[in-house]
Amino acid sequence: MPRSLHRWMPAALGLLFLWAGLHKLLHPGTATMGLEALDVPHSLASALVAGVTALELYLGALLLLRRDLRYALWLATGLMLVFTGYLWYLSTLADPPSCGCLGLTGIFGNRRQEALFSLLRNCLILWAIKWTYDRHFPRPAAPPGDAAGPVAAPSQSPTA
Amino acid sequence: MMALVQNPPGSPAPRLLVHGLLALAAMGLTLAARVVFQERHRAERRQIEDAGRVRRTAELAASWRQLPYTALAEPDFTPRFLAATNWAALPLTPLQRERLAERLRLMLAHLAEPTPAGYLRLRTGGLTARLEPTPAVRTLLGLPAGEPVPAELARPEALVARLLPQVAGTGPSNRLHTRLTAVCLDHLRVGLAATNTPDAVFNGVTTLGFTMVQQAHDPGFRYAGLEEDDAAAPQVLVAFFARTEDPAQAGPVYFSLRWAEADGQWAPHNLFSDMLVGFTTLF
Repeated sequence: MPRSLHRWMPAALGLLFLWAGLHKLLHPGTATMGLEALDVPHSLASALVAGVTALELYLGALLLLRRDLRYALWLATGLMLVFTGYLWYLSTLADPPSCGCLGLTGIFGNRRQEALFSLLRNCLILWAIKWTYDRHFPRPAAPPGDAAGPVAAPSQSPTA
Repeated sequence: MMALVQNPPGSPAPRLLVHGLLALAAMGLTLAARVVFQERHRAERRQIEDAGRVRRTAELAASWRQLPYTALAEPDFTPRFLAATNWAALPLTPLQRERLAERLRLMLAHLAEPTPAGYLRLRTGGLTARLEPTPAVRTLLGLPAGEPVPAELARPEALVARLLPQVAGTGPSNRLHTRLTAVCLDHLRVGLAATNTPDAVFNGVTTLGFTMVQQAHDPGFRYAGLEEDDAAAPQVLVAFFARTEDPAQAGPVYFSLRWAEADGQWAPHNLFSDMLVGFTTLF
């Protein structure tokens, strides 16, 4: 993997979230009706999709502008974990509704396949977020002779 | 959280203000799009619903076509149908049970080979019945509303003989078939109900699902002691999957019979079939 790739990853992830947000902004129907198919009331489903749309746009902008990257990557991880949990639940259903994410609706003849593909895609995105985080915020090297176990925080002595 | 949003050194803008502005912009954009594209979103929703309906209908049609069907033309079909009937679900008197078996035989004969004579046997045999053409039948026969039925159609036999081909369709060019050719005995449902409301018929003990249903034409038979809204008369609901001459057309068929106490006989009441069966008849 090219060494400079990690520099572009936040922007790439940001564009991905912006794309997902813009897609839901223009086509909220599939995501809303997917929730409604799970007996979520229409008003709540609509509010949830609107909230997720705003969150994706906000997160996309943060990543694209590289604002508080650590916070943005944590937030992206949390959001992707929630999405992944939702997709896992959909994939367990015999006839799941479409998740409505990233405009992939219609590629698959079978909604279950679509949910499983989306699950795999989300795992890859989570891995990309983790990889980017590790490259941008590497852990401090362990002191020599203490390779195993967590590093204890140094005591703060006023005389030090 | 505050620890996560600390400013990097040299940042020109207060961190929280930037986050607030970005969040506000995202929320504003979302709400604005919701308002501006309201009509477009409604149209999209309708489109998704239509596509979902078509998809679900195709799935149901495919599953109904794959069921194991038994031809009505088989010599032992009626005994097999009666044997497959869950009589335990019908707490009937011995007389009611015996009469129901008789009526089911006539019913199956009518569905397999609808003829005016067979239909009249089913509708009037052992029953004190009179025929008052319904407004729908009058329209079908081209009879002006309010005027008496012409002499040539006054007899039930004549009226039914004229009406049946018109309702059921005849000839190979007609896309509607006049008969059922096979029934799935594995999914034969029967039940006793106090009403035959759509909920009782389609979501009750005999539920088999449906896409869109059509009701068979009732020419207007009325029975002694059995008024239309008589809730006291017990009703037997029967449902099964059936197929017509076209093997691609299969789906659920529901019918109900009401107990006419005065005659000690079951009177045909309603017949519904799924649009996918493509079956229209008199009932």
